[in-house]
Amino acid sequence: MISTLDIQSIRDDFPGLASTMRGKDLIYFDNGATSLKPRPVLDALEGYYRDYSANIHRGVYEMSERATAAYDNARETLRRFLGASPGEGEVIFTRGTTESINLVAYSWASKVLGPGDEILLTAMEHHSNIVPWQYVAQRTGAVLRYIPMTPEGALTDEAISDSLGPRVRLVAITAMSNVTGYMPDLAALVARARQGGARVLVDGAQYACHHAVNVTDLDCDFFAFSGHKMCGPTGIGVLYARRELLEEMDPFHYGGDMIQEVTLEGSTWAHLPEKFEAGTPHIAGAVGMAAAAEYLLGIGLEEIAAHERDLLRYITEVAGQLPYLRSFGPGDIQRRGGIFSFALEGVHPHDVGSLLDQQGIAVRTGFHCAQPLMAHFGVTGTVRASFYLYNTRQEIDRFVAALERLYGILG
Amino acid sequence: MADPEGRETWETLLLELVKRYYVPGTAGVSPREGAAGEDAGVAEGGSEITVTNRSCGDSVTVCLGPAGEVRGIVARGCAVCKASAALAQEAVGALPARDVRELCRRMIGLVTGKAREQGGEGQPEGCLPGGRLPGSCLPEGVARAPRLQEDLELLGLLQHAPGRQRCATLSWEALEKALGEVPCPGESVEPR
Repeated sequence: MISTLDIQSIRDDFPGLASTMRGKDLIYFDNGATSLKPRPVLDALEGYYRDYSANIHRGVYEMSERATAAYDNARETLRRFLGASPGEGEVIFTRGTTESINLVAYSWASKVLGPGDEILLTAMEHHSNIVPWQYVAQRTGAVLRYIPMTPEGALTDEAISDSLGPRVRLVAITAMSNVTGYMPDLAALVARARQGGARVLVDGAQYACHHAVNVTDLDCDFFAFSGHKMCGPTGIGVLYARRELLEEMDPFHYGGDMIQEVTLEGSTWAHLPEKFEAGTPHIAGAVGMAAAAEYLLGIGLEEIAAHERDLLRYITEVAGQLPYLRSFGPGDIQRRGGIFSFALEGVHPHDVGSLLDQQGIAVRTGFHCAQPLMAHFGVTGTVRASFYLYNTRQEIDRFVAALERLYGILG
Repeated sequence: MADPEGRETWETLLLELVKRYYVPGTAGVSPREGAAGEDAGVAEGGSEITVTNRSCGDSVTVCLGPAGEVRGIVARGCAVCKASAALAQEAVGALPARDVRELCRRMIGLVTGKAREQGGEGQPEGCLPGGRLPGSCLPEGVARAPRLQEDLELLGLLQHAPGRQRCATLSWEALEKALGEVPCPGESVEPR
């Protein structure tokens, strides 16, 4: 698919792009960490705080009813965004992907897994999709296993098949690596895992903001993602989970709003999804995240993905000409999102990042919360340029020129 | 060198450090000949103290001899980390151990700016604009080494680059920790 986006019009939606950094026009290539926010999201956030910032549920006055409706509508918008079934209460608001995964680790895995059960991961996972499972393994006696990767960081069909043994109860895998942008063939992996009786959790933090998602078609059991990487606010995210799993899971947090009835002797839990949302939620965050989802759906996620793939192809061609640059990740662009991780020979990533900063260019440097993947590549860190719908080829030209300049200093 | 606001830029600092200490293309050791980076190894009866920056994996190792003398400081990291290690090594050569320990405290406070905010121990009084360290608040031996003093002052500019401060403080933390393991002449080791 060829990109058909009106990039200038999109850029006009993002006030942050008019910023300068170190006195230079900003080039924001740190979208893998968090995205900039468009006006509709900023307006939604301000609208809540300015016009109806009451608490939700049980308020018998108009402002609270308005806040409740906005919160419920936000959940419905995100259900559509995910392609989940209506009316099932399968969309849970969390603080973000990390909390979503922890919710599954505590409330599902710690309860149902036992000694000898296997949790299948990959070494390309973000720490947030490794560390919770290490905790679960320690607590339950389950065993962690990792699907072997190619040297470039891809998963082959054979490696996946060989790894899916009869003891695998859970596969927890990213839909898109936050370091290389590699996207495994999730549909095939989920089908095989489910066929063998394993549950599948998808870490969609990097994927859902750039690609259309349909959890019903994908047939996964859990899908986690964050608002702030998809043009929404920080501190809000979503866990999608199958209703039957949510029903059997214990609550994650306990307190107000997640109960049916409380007596001095005990309590019963609210229906889904409130069972998993104790206390006053991040109402503005939910409203803002829904505004972001509407914004992305309005532009078209397929078009956004195509645009970013074009940028990845372009930077791979242009930066690939630099003999001292080593890029990381599989070569098949079709299996990659808009992330370009690299190292300059003999130059520390932090020094690259600092000198790019002086040119007004924002990138991320270091191990990207993915130390096992760094070990796989034999490095301690990389420089990561990650793109979004508002980035352009012209920015990449300026970026590559800056790389040449700084290598002249440090190389 | 100074920008219109009188504040020297991060880039200026880095380039100065590169010019003075950085050896291009090295894999993370040996900032310059004769300075930090020579991996002295663990001498018989000696020890090593390593401090690591958990956000990036960079590390600084201080190698101590049997009598607690600093035999070498090895930095594995970025240009700032290596330059700072080189400066720490120079300070070790120029100052008595007691003054080096005082300098460690002052350098950490200077680079982070936290000592000034908190009015804490080790904060040099009367810092110059931009975090420059006036010679009057340095240990006496530093004042007799103008170039060393100037480079220490340069590190103070990292107050404007919060994301890189730990790159510089790592060496001083490691050195402070290492020197804390052995008594200065005439004093005993304090429990840490």
